[in-house]
Amino acid sequence: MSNGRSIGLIAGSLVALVAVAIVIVMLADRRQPQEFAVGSPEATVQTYLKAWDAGDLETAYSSFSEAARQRITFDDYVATSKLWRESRGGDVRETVYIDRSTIDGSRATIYLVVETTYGSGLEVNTYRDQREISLELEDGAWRIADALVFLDLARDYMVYEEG
Amino acid sequence: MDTVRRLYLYAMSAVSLAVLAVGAQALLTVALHGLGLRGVPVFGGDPGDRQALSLAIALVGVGLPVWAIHWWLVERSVRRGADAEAERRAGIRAFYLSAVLAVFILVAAIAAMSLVRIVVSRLMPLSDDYYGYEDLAGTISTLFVVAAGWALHAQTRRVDVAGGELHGGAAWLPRLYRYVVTFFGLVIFAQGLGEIAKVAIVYVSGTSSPDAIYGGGYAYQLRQALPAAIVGLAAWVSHAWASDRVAASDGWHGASEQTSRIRLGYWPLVIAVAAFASIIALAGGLGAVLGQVLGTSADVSPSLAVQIAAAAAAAVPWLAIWWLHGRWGRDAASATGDPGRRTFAARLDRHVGAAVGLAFGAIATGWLVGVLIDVVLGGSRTVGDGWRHELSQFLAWAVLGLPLWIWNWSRLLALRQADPAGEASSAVRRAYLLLAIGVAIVSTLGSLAIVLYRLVGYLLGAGLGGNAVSELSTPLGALIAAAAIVVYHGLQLRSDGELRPATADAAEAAAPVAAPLTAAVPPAAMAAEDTAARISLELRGPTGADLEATLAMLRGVLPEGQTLAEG
Repeated sequence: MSNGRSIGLIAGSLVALVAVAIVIVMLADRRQPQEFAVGSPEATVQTYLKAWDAGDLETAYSSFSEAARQRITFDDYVATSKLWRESRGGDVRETVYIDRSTIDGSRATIYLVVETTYGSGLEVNTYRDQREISLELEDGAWRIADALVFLDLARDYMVYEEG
Repeated sequence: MDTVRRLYLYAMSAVSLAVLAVGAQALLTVALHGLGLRGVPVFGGDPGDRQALSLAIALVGVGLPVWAIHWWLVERSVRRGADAEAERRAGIRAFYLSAVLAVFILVAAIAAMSLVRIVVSRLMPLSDDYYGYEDLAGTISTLFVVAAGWALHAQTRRVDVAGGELHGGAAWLPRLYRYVVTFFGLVIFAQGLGEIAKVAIVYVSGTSSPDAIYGGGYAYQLRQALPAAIVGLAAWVSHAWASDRVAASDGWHGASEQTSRIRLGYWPLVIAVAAFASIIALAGGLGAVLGQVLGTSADVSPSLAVQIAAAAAAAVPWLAIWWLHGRWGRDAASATGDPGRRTFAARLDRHVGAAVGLAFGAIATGWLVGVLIDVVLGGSRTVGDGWRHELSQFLAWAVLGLPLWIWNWSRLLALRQADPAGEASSAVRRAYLLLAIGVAIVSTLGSLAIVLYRLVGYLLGAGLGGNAVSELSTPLGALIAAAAIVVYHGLQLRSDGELRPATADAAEAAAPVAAPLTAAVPPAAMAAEDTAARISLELRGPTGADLEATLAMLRGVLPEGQTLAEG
């Protein structure tokens, strides 16, 4: 293959790849978030995350198990959530994927991949890490075993009043 | 093309190729993410994808035209025009191609290891991921882009080689790339295989607490070792196969490969590294045994038998590599039917073994002599239990290193007794003796400085404090061991000098080299170490130049015994 032809082939392939990538990203943006079977551990986690994102702390709080709710009152949870949001800073975006899940009787573990994006434009930084959420089966419904503020343990951010 | 223009074109090609490769990788990653390789999010959108796509398009948009124009100019100059042959033979071109191939293969190896790790992670998931989640789409994209880039440049090099004979850097730089990748592939493979063997031993033994030996569980260890073994094996086998194929080929490339110094140097280097790694691994097990005998406080819980078995398992790949490369070298030399080649291969093999054994033996002996001085003169190094642990480790080095040296050196002494003049004239022997003396002298510099520091401090009344005996015992032990090496090897060198014929030095210095690497090397092509020195030259000049007169002038200034012959 001649020099010019091989360079032309590479250039053509890349231009085609650009066009394909644009189409794929546009179509992917229209895709709805993954839906899970009602009553599944994954659905509980998704419901919690949606509520958290919408600022619906009552629904988020109701996703926690009875034991978890006994460890933190709703008022404390609201205060802790506020503190968490303040400490987080702006211009941070998270995308959460479910990597896998395991169910062992009345306990389940959801393994999540969290993609966190900071900044914008050429200053944008993205990193990925893995989190896990434990759930318990309570009265036939899956509940999150520990109170969370987003995906962090609420107890790590709790404000303790003196006395 | 002048050198400055050549440098400009290759530098621009390199920079724009890097930009293009990063852009193409990002583009492919975004596309694979969009196709669902990352999964569908349960929360949040994909704000990063459009940004990443924008950046990728920008990088490709900038990198592609700049690279295409410069690379087209480069290739046009090589394939067409009056200077095409000079361009094909340019060292800068060979350097560029070798560097690009090396960078691409390095990135490909990292991505391939990541890919294997992802697969292993899927099969053996860990709840606690030490390295975070690795992006499958990004890994596949990286592999694809660097593989394409590597293939393009490897093909370019193949066309250059097919164009006719290459000399100097144009011949040896790509060869250096090939052997460096072969070497590191082999090392990574052996290391990974050794780790897998260790994990297997611990797993089979049913040791309750593998974490005492390893930083994590079985799955974590396998995640680290398996990618290294697989990718290292692929790099080693593919590049070794390519080298052997070149060496077995007809024409200038095969002949050039067979007699190359890089190929020759690769063989003893592998033997030396394999011997070194074997002793390190075996010393781990032996040190554990000696530690038990000496009553060191064990800080690991697995049984002694498991520790010994794990150390032996880790040594097996290195011992196999040592033995295989030694055999390949000897077989290749024997296949030539030339007794000189056989002697050369045996000599090289034994000197490498002797050097590695001497290194371990000398370090251990120096330390043991130091402890002895400390005990005899009433130092404080043997207070507490820490020294027992060191003693078990250095004793293990001595037990493994000194027999290796004695075994090889005794055979070399027998060779010298059988053929004193021949051995005395050997460049390998002389290199070994000078290396032993040189390394011993260099290693004493630190010890001498400590001794002088204490001495000058004492004379100046600096009040240095501490236990002088304990502080001086280790450097004194090292000095004694080094002095013994310098004296013994110095005497050998002097004795050789007395036996060596006066003409041997000059003839040997210019002797061509040949590589007894593998059986794939055609026997006829392996030049003997003691054949006459010969290099090919090409005399060029402008049209009408009197080349015969120049040749006659050159012949007139040649040293005695050297000739210029027209081919």
